[in-house]
Amino acid sequence: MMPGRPIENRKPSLAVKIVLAIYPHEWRARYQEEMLCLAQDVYGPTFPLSCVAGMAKDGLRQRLSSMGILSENPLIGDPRSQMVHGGVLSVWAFALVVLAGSGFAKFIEHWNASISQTDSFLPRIGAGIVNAAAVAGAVMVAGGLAVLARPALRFVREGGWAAIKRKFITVTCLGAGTLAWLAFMVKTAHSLPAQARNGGSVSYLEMGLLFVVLTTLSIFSLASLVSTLARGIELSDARSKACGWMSVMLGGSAYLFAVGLAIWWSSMLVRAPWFFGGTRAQPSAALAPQTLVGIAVLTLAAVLVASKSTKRILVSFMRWE
Amino acid sequence: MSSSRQESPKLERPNQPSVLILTSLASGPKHGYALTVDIEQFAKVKLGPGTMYGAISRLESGGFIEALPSSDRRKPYRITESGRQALVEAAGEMRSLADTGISRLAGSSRLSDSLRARGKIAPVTGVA
Repeated sequence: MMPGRPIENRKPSLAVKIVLAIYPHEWRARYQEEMLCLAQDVYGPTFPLSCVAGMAKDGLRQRLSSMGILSENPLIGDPRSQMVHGGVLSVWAFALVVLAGSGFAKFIEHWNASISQTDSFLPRIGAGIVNAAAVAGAVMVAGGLAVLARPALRFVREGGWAAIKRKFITVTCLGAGTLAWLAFMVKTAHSLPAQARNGGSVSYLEMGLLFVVLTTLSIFSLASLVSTLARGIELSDARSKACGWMSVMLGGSAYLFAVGLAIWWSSMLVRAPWFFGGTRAQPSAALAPQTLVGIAVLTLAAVLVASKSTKRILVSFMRWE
Repeated sequence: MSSSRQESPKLERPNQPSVLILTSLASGPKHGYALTVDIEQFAKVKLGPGTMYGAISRLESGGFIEALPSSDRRKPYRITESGRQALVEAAGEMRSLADTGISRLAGSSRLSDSLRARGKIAPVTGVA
């Protein structure tokens, strides 16, 4: 076997250490030493930029695979793994819908006060469809939990805890931190006047932004935990297929949300454009463009991920005998 | 338990790192550096360390290769039976594609002259 260079146990440079941090912890524990050894065999003690850039790109791929966003199974045509990957993608699509929906719900507070009863027909339809999307998604999530709870517990008891321990701790800490920050914000809000709460206070806005960051991290870490569990548990064919259909409907809630959002937005732009300027019910005019762009980007991402999910699941149903 | 259709294992596109690694391991176990050198020799492709171990991790998790015990940092890998089956399938697809392309090109005189000059197709004989 080709011997390679004499073994040097040099510590990686700062740039390499930063790139290695992109890789998931479990992957690093298994392959980091071998990969660094190979790089030293090929390039010597100092790695060129092309090598470091390649490691960064592959690190990102490994990270996205561990979160379930990219499929890590090299097999194509395997219906079971396609079904699981499609299901995981639908969870990510719904996570994006939850984020976009939370922003939308906060943004449209008091919208009723900005528009007359007769003009509010279409916006009410749009808001109703958005609410229906949220309820449909929540029902599918509850159904999924009901189907998967026992297999998931079995997986954890039979040695799967090691695979999810880090992610579980991350979700717990982030969730607790987010709730604690929310409680602090609510307590602070009670001592502020209405104008300050709705964009008039810079420090309260900053608290709100931190809350958005914490919520985003919590939701993403929860989706990542769910994806690791989904790929580890064993399901019967009947349960797998039931989960497949629920995942299609969960992804469908993203389309429903996008439709409701489009109806509400377009009708409000025509009938109550002053709402977006923040001069009547909502003085937070400075936040309107950023919030709108953020909600639109999240919604578009949710629709794209939901489409990929639906396609994978439907293809796996066609291949499944 | 699963009763999904038992398709023979099929890899990603034939020129992808996974196929190159399996091809190299078909001649015997190798560690990462030996794989890099061998692949560069037969395929004229240089796989970076990130790409190499990204593909190795996917192949190992799919059961196509397995690590052998080793006392140093370089861990050798060997191909499994599942990996051999997948490689046979991928090689068959590549061969079929190459045969079709060359037989279609053989009708085009300028292109086929070029291929003959490079020894890619057989010389023409017995032309009147």
